[in-house]
Amino acid sequence: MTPPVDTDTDTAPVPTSPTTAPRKRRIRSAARAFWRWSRDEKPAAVAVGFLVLLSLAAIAAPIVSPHDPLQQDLGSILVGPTWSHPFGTDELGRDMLSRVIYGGRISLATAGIAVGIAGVLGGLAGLIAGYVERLPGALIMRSMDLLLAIPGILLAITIAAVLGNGFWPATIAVTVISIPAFARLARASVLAAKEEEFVQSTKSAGATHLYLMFRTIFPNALSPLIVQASVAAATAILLEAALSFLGLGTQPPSPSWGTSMSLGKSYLKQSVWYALMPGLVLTATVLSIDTIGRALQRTWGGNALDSAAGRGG
Amino acid sequence: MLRYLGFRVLQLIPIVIFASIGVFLMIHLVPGDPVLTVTGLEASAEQMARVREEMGFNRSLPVQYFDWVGRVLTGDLGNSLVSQKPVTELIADRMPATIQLTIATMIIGLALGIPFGLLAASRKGSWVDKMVAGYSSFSLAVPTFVVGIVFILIFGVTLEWLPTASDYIPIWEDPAGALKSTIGPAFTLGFFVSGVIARFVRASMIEVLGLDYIRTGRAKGVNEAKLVYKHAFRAASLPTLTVVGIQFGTFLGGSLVTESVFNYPGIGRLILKAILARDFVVVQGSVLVVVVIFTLVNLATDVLYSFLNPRIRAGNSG
Repeated sequence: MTPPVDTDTDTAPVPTSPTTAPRKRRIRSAARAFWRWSRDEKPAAVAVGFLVLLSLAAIAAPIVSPHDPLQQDLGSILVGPTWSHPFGTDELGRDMLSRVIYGGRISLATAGIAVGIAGVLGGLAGLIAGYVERLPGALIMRSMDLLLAIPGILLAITIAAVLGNGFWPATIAVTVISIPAFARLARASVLAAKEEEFVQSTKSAGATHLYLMFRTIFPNALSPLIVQASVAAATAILLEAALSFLGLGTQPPSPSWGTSMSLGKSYLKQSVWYALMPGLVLTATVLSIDTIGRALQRTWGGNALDSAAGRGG
Repeated sequence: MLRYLGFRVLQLIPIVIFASIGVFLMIHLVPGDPVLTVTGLEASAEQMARVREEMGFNRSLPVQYFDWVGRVLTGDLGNSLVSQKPVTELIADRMPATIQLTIATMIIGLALGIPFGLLAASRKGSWVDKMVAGYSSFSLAVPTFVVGIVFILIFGVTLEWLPTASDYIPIWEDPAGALKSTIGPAFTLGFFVSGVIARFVRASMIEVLGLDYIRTGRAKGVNEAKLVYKHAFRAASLPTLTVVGIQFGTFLGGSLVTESVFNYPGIGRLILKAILARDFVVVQGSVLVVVVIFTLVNLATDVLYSFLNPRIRAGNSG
């Protein structure tokens, strides 16, 4: 599949915030811009709301969750939704709502770490590969092709298994397979920007290579990378859940969404809620991130992203 | 055309070499001793040393790599550390199940995806278009294990129409049984594929419908249905072919998650079980086979694409 290429660099200027403006005014104008944007992109605004709520719940998990996620209550196992257990309970009577809230910590942390590291590493690699097209560039892109030669989910599973099971192996695995997409995208943006007049004129004005790369070209590559970050975050959450589901991610009793679903699958006859609730929250989370990504893409322009890569399987 | 084909086949070689090194290193740099898989945890030091000697694990990594590659080239992928069976035999046992599942998956994916994509493109901007966009977003966001579990819940647990765990039944032996046992995993994967296909069909149809020759056709008074479904769809199906090829290649390598959900005995289960048992000979061999299949299908797709696309065909024949 052709890598997503952002060709209309001139329609996607990244506003560099004037450092002289008072902070209050900057925040207010940013809020106003967001408000206008959310009027045009209503589903995305709902998605932002959901993700903010989920993130807050995950951060404040000890305060907001109604029960201890590890607290067993053998008197009420596998019950459906009730007032005291809105998401029901698992086979040990643990409260599923609390487990889903704590599981959100794992999913969001994996996505944040993976996308943060992969975005920086992949973005840098692509920036260099696009700027220095000769040997370093070719070397970088061939190593990216190597990573893409193995189907994403298989590579993630093998890496996670090789590193041992747990949060970090899974997160590292997800990070590694997220890198190539950033690199390809950054390289394509840089290649397109290099030919632009404003880059050429900055160059002839005597700008250093570093200045050209980071101050002139990079800001123009930023908006497609942000859109890619949203796709990658959603894929990272899906992959982490898949790894946990297969028993290769965080281990029980840790309440990862994938682990909960894998355990809950054995109790479908007794309680459908056990496996279903983490799955619903997981799906809603991924759908929200995807929706925001697509809305950002509409706002900033750019070609269609391949959001299917690394998913399904 | 022949030169193009030759060029593409040559390009395969470095990919496969790199992939083999990658797979080999990934598995041999593992913390954890493969010898323990053979001897069990209770083995004495002498026992372990003997096994290490026998299996050649005491040699340097490059020597082990070239030894492995040498044997792979003669068609020997080694023997499983757990069952002692040849890896080629294990893969050959599982391959028919995965092929059957992949074909069923693609049939479901195309049967759902193409009509949805066409419908959305022909009513661009309408509520139908929005519904289809929602459908494909959902199919890409919902994990396969969630779809699989809901499928089992509805058809296996509640309605009791289908088994809760699938088995591989060849379609030529027992068509009804094969359908029953394959439909679950095939629908789960096909649902995902249909979202991808619908999105692609829609995008390329909209592009083609905006082209001059369609407008000319319309001006000449060509029947609208004929215009859309014959002239435009034929042109729009080319880019879609690429995405279908990629999905086909991916699923031929087995689908670890979906096969696990349904206990379907394909390549994916083989690899997953080997990974969990630390049977690295099987992992190494089957991942290599999967990568080769994946690469070959991608190549076949590209070649087919250029063969069907008159512009590329003409450009490369001279």
